[in-house]
Amino acid sequence: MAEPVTLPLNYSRRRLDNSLTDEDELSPLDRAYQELCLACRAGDLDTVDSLTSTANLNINYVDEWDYSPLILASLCGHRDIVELLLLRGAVCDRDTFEGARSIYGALNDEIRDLLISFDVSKKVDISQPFAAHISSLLNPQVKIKTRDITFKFPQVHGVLNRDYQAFSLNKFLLIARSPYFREKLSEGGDWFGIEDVKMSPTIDPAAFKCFVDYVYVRTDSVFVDENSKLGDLAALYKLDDLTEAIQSIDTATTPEQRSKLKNESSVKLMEAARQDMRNFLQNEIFGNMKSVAIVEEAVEENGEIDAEDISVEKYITQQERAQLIGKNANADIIVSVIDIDSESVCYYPVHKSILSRSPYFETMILSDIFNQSKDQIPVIQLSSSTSSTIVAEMVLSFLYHDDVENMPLKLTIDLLFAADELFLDRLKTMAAVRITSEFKNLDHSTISELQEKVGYNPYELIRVSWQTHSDRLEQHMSRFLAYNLRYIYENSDERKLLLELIEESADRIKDRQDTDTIELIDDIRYYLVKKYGIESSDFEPDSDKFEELNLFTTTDKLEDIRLYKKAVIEYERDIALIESLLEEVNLEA
Amino acid sequence: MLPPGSRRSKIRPPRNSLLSSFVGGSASSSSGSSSTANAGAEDYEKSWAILSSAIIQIQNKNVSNLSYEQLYRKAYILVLRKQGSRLYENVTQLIVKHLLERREALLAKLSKESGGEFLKTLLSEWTEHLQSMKFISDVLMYLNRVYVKERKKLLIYDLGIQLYKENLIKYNNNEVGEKLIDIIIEEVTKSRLGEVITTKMYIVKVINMMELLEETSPSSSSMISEVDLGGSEGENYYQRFFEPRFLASSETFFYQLSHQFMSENISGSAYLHEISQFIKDEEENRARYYLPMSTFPKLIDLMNNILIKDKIDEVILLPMDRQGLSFWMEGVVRGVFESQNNPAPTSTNSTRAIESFANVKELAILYELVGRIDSERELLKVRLKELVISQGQSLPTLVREKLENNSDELGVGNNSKKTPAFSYSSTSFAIEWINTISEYQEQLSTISRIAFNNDPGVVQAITVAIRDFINNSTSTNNKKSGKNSPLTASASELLSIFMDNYIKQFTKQSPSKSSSINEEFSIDQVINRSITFLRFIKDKDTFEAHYANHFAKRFLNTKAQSSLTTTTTSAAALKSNNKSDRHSTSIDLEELILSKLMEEMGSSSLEKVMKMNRDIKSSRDLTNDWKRHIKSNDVQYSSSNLVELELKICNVTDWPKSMTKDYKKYSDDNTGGTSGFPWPKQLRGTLSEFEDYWLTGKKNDNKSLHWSPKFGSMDLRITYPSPMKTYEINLSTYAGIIMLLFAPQSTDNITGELVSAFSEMRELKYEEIRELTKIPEQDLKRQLQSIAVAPRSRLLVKVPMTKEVNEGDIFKLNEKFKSPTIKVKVLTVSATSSSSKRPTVANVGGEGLPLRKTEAQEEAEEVAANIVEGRNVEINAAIVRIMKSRQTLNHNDLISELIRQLQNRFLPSTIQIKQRIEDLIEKEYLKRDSVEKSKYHYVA
Repeated sequence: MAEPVTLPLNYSRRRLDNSLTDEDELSPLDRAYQELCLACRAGDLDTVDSLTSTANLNINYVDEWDYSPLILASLCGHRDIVELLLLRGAVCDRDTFEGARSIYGALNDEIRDLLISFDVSKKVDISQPFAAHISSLLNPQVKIKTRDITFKFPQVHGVLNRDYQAFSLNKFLLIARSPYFREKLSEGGDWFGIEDVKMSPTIDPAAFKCFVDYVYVRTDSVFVDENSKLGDLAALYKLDDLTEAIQSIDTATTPEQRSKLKNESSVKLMEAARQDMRNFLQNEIFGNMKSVAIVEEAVEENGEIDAEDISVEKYITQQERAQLIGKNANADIIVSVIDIDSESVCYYPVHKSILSRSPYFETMILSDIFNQSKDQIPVIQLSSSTSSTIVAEMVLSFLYHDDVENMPLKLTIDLLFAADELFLDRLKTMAAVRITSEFKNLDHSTISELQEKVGYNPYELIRVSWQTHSDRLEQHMSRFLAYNLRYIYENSDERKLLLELIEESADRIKDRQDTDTIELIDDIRYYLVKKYGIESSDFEPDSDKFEELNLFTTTDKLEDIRLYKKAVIEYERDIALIESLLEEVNLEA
Repeated sequence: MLPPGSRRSKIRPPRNSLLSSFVGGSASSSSGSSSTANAGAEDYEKSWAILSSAIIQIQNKNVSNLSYEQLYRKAYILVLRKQGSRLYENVTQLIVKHLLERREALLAKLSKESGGEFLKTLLSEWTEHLQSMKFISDVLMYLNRVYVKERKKLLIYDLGIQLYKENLIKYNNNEVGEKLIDIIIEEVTKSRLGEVITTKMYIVKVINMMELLEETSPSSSSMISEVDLGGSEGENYYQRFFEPRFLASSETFFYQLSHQFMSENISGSAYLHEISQFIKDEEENRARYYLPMSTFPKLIDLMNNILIKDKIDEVILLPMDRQGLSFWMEGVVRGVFESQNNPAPTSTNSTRAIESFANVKELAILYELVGRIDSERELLKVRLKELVISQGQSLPTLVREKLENNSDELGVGNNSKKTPAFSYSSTSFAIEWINTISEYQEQLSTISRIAFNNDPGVVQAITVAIRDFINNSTSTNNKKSGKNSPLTASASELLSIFMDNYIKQFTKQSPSKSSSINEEFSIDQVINRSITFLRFIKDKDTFEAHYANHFAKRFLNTKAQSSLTTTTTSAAALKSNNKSDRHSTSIDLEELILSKLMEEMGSSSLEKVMKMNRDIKSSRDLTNDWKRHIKSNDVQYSSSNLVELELKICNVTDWPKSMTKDYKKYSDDNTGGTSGFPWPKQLRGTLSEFEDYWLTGKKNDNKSLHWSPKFGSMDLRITYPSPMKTYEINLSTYAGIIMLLFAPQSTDNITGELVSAFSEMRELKYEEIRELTKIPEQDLKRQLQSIAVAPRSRLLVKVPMTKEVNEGDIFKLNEKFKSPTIKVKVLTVSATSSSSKRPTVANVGGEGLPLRKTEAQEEAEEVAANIVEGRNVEINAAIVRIMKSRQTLNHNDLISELIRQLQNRFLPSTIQIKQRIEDLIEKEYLKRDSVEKSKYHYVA
């Protein structure tokens, strides 16, 4: 089986350069798409992961050469990316040009089999992670029970299928997804504050089931062909997107067309769901946020107090809590964050079912310790590392709809820590990508730029990456150091910082006891090889291979060889610098 | 290091503290490094104080005051500040301390509590520990997910389990663990001894617990931190400590159990029941209940080996009084004889009957048990085979005893004679023996069905055994082994006798004979029994020969015909008022049986019989033709006073030699007519007319005709004067000829009619009769006995009235002959009984006659010779067939191929084969290879 390949570095760098120069002319969406294609070529799983949740980005688009991200990943043999793309809704349809191309072009059998297994004729899972989570809430085996309203159908014509007798659902999702239910469930509505609803016999339970699937973003089971009553229900519940989708599917004349339209509608419905969640979050959660100013008596001599020592529970009474969650949010838990800027505690009414996307919250909610506390309405802190409502809202955005817009560079590291604490790996990747994609320029001017925009210098960022186990950030920064090795070496301040970092990396080895090379140095060496575009096997510039090439090559080639020799020499020099640095701190590696 | 631009605040943002550890180490604040380090240590102590007290609270089941969030954060920050290993270490110590305390408490309880209670206490300890570890693990989630993962250490929860094992179960030389194992083994032993134990659930749970306690590599017992996560494939505590001890104790227990049973001299039946019950209990109620899948087969193997494999043969071979296999099967033989006295068993109650005779239950258990150690059940097959053979060999004696008893009961009144000797070749013996074997075999197959699950292997073994004793009953092998069976006739012959008897009975419609058992069998049953029995016979050709012989005799000796033999064709003729319907019954039956036999043996087998059957048919046709001929020439024949003639014409070559060998004796070569034998004048005319018809007609196929007075029968009508009564008497041809001597010869002078024979009152001496009839002496005496001595058919009066016929005896008509029926059949006295005193006769007769063999013996030899001859032909044919296709073959291959081809018919002996080969070499069918002497070539 062939090994995954990366397209030649020069080539990819050129494309990168192009994309950078074109940057101004491109819309953010196009840029995201271009980056996605690039990541699919290079095998950059994290970037693909991060970019595929970009709002409105259709990952089935093709570029000017008719390559789709899926084809690229398939051609280059990145199995994990292929799988990820397929899971995120990339369509592989043998009957289309693109589909056939991705299957025939697959680098190895494993990928081909994978593609075939996702062939659109079977089933396309276009659910995004947030949608997957929401639809899992309907799963009878879900561990955290949060469904708070039951719709019961009368048995009019004989015995009703057990599936259709009663639907236990989450109020907040109904509110988020349907204006009709929002009205009914809101204060003053018919169903406000009640737990059981008897459904009118005029409502078809089967159609209602499709509606429930719609609410829970189970887009593949919304459209049941025989069900004509779903349209009526969609109109009744004022679900314009669903009505539109049903009408669009009805225009189909052939089964193939129908199936295609269904897929398209599914994508649209998912985006609509995301928008619904976004709106709900904005209006009902962020909108209802309660802010209380902090008044602390126990201050240290310098007048300071650690944020972690502030008890957030005491700033909100039980009554206030009930009031907070009782609004349209229909929340069941309150999340707090200490906002340093405003010196206040901010409370958000949120949902256990959504928080449980974080393994930390899930464990906590399931833990007996948590459940034994006497509070009816628990108040928890979002994370110990968060001291800004902006960061908190970014985390909540991610939890509710995957999508974090406008990530301020200044708060990215805060977000990274919060994501690490909450075990939100994807959010961590997104935060890291935010920085790495912002600072692609490997010039030494970036050092000050980083300090200015992110608030950290590269050395600190590497430390952060160590702490948060963010490989992506670590790699990017190591690469940055490699590319600027000479500059750093020659600049005494920078050099001192680097030496400290090297020492710390060496310490980490001692602590870990499982390897005898200094990771940082290894990484830098690796990126030096990349930088000069040389193969590690021929370090010797005057090896036989070169002699041979000399004899038989054209002038063009000779020029290439000249350049190559030059690169090798430069590489050698940089390696010497590393040796010198290591000597300075008495280390060997 | 505050983020640039952050304004001074009284609240310190958490990020500040997060990064403090490396900020503190940076060169920019070298002066504060030690104080920061101190602060770090203080921080750690503060956090650890909170965490450790929380853990202690968790261990004391008091979690309501704890804040999950707070504890998680403490741990999170400690890990972030690279205090993970310290935290891990401290947590480990804390748990160890707790466990050691718990252990002390447990040991204190152990001394007070019973085994069962202790298990319960320990289990609740275990459950609580797991519960607290779950809490601790939840709280230390960040440590688990980050530090533990990175350092490849045990997850907190698993660490808790390991620590539990090391510090509670295995601490101090596995103290608690050993106690546990002791208790469980004790409880299991109680259960095995039949006590009801209440600790089953605890045992199950404790064993589950032991399985969770991983034992990885032997060296890592104390070094928790070195425990390798990859060891999940490794052993667990259960496997390393519990299982070996449990199996060892079980082994001891099983040994004791089986030893105890055997030493108590309990019966085999009791052993079977006890063991099977124990095994069932052990499997269902104990092993399957609490043992893991991996141990189950080990224990079962152990149990099977000790309780079954080591002992079962001993049990099987127990003598009758200790109830082994011979005891369990003994009822089968008993059942055979007892059920024969009862009405014919139907299939439904045969099962019940069998159950009452044989120990079916024990046999079923035996089958089950043996199956546990060997799915092929070889031992059972071997032992069963031995037993069936020995039972089979005892059958002849038993049969004979039964016959003797029966005749004792029945015959005391009628028969003044002493108990008749039932020879092992007599008809009644043959019938009884074959019926017995059939019953026996049916009983065995019923047992196979009920007890042995119709196991094909066992059924096969039984079949082989039956075949063995049936065929070896007369073989030399048996004699060598000293178990000489009393049988004198071969199974083939006995079967033939058996069939002959029944065929005769079914043909005879009047069941006048007092045969006791026959009426209950239908034709089908008899045929089925015969065929079944035939399957057991190895030498089918022997049977064939005997059957042919009996077949011929049946044909030739049946009523109302006399037969005459010819050179190539033999015809028999005599008048008869033939009852054709009866006749056809017999023909149909014969054909039915023939077709069944052919089905069984193949069409080529019964060639001779088929040919005889053809003769029978053509005889019938010829008789009809002859009758038509007479009718059409009515005028011509009307005067000649012809007798009615029923013909039996036999091709000499196809019929048994014993019957046909002296066919020419009765014809005179010179005249070619009937003059060789002085046929009575009453018959002569008819015979010569028929000869003319034969010679002139187209029926003869150029075959010559010889009359044979030895066979066939004659119908005479005799009218007795006072009281006036006419009897129709059927008697053998010879007897008829004798009677005709007494027919009136003088005509009444007045009326010109024949004088009544009774008026003539002719008296003839034995010598005169002999002279006049020229009937061979042997036969003559028999015939005279039949008509002058046998009480029911005493047509002649003999003077003196002795049983024996001697020279000088005088015979005359018996005026006073009476019979309840008009029709009288004279049965010819059998050759054996008439000659039973042969030596005396010979001496008395004093004619220097050589001590002749009896006819029966002669016949037997004849049959035997036929068989040998037939085999020679078959072997020759087979050799030629094989060699023709193979051209060249060496000796051994030829022999094995021969045996393969012939075994269905008989088993040729090597000597016989060698002779045949020599024979064929002589006849130049084969030749030996010039170099390799053991190789033969086919000579085309």
